[in-house]
Amino acid sequence: MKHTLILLALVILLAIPAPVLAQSQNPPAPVVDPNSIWGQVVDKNGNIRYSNLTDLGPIQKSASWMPNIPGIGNLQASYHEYQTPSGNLVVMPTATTLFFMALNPQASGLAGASSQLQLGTGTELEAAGLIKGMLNGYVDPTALTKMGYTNPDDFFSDVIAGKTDIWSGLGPNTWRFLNSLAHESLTDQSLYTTLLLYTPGDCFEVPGGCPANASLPSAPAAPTPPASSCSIPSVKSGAITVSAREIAPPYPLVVGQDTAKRGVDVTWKVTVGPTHYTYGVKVPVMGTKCISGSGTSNCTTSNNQAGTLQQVVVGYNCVQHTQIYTEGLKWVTPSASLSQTSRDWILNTLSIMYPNDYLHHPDFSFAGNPAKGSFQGSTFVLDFSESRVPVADPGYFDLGVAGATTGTPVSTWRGFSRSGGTFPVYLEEAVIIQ
Amino acid sequence: MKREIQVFRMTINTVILLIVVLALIGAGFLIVRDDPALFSGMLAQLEVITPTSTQISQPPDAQAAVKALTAFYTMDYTVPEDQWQAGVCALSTPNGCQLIQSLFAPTVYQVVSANQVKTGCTVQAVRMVESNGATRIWQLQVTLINPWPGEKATTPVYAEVDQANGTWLLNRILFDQEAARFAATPTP
Repeated sequence: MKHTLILLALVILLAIPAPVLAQSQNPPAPVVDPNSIWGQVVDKNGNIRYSNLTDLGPIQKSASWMPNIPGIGNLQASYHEYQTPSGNLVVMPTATTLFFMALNPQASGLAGASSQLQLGTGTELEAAGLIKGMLNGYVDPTALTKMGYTNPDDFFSDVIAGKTDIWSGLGPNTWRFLNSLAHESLTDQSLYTTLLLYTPGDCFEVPGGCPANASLPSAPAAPTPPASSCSIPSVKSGAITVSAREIAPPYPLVVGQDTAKRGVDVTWKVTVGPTHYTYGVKVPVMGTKCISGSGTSNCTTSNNQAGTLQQVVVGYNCVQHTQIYTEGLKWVTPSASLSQTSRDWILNTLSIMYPNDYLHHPDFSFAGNPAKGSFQGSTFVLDFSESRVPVADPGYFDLGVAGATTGTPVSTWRGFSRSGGTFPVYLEEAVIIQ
Repeated sequence: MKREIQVFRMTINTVILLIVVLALIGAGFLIVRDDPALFSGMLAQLEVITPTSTQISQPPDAQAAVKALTAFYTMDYTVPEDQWQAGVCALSTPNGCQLIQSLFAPTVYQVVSANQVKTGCTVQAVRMVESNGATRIWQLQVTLINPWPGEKATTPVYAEVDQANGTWLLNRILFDQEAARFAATPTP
């Protein structure tokens, strides 16, 4: 009876059908969907497909976010830039440049990249994670303790937030770390670990500016306004909307705990409104006027002469006309990406219960290139669904779409990256009530 | 009537020498008047090759920092980059040399070439700001003799020196961002 009571008291709300995936295995190499935007850049084994890319060459530029040599100026930022067949720009910073980009994600353009891909075993793509990964083995724990940090992650977060500087955490290891960066960044031997991708529409976000030798589509020639035009034509591009949601199952489990390995079904919807081209046309305003001359006189002109009333143009109205141009999608890549807060929770909180926990597959992207949609009236609508996405990490996934429109006769194409919703993925945990 | 004037050979030589010297001075004046930049260039050339004298009273670690920074901030766009690197590396640790070659040199020579820099410098050790066994950081003051437009002549520089086999050598020059923590410390 006593045993029964104890058993009753121990109510297992949720049994764990399987471990949260093997915790001891090494993080997997990045899995690149060959149909995604990265498919043109990297093969399924993670090798860069140089033969598929246009080499825009190495770039060295002075950048205000690079460290300053006293009396000389800022260190030069170094990248190698490539262009994909579909026009996307791929930027590969050297190790040194990447490190200082991560320290200054906004100013350096790191945060402005449409997508990032980490080669090798790393899975951290956000700035604090990049810094932490690059400084692995170089941060001086004593220095951090002296600064009041018991958790190194807090130090890296504070560095990104500008609350402290990275140098104080390196201490006597600084030269060793700089040497390792310099060694990996040697000319012609650079070890590129992170690839940044910018859609042509975001070319201005490329570190160091939009490459002069990139082949970017030019704006189409606007139609010539009619000769009777009376106002400057205006172009208003149609709105791009993105919505996305998880369809099934109602409460998805991480696939590691799901015996059926169900995964999730997700749908995305992208709409592109029509572009409005507005121009003014001079329209004559008719009226009667007394004009002297032949014919029966029925009025007096302004200079007191006999005249006849006639229909004449007395002025002009500028009448606005609007031409509608439909716009489609050139390519789209729907994606599902584990939110930053969930990543932090896995790595900082969940890892207490599951030592050596890591992110298994936090990013998914799915190609729709070329975009298969249709016009509903003058609005282009693209519906895209993906079944059984094998979500392996618990938390909230952000659903987004990156892509480019086709442009219209009066407007150039547009690159975009929008989020459209989130969905949760659950982790079962055993809870004992006493 | 015939008068004989006796002129010594030495007097003739002196007069000829005087005429030559006056001619050279005159020609030089005309050249400088036509091209004043030539004179300042010659002056700068003389300054470039004038080394900073190391104060004997300074400790050897400070002397090592002064010598290395003198080599670093003596820049001449007509001197090949390799030669400048070799000069600095001779006064640096192997690790310091690697940093100079891969991290600093590309930027330094981009500035040197773009501004056609040709300058020497004077370097003075100000104070030691950190000591960690065989590694020390010194604050120094570097004054460029011929700064390029937009660059101030005097700059505080923090240099880390390392002792190996009894010899002090430059390990690295601290970036301004890194040295900010020392700049904020009041001088004792």
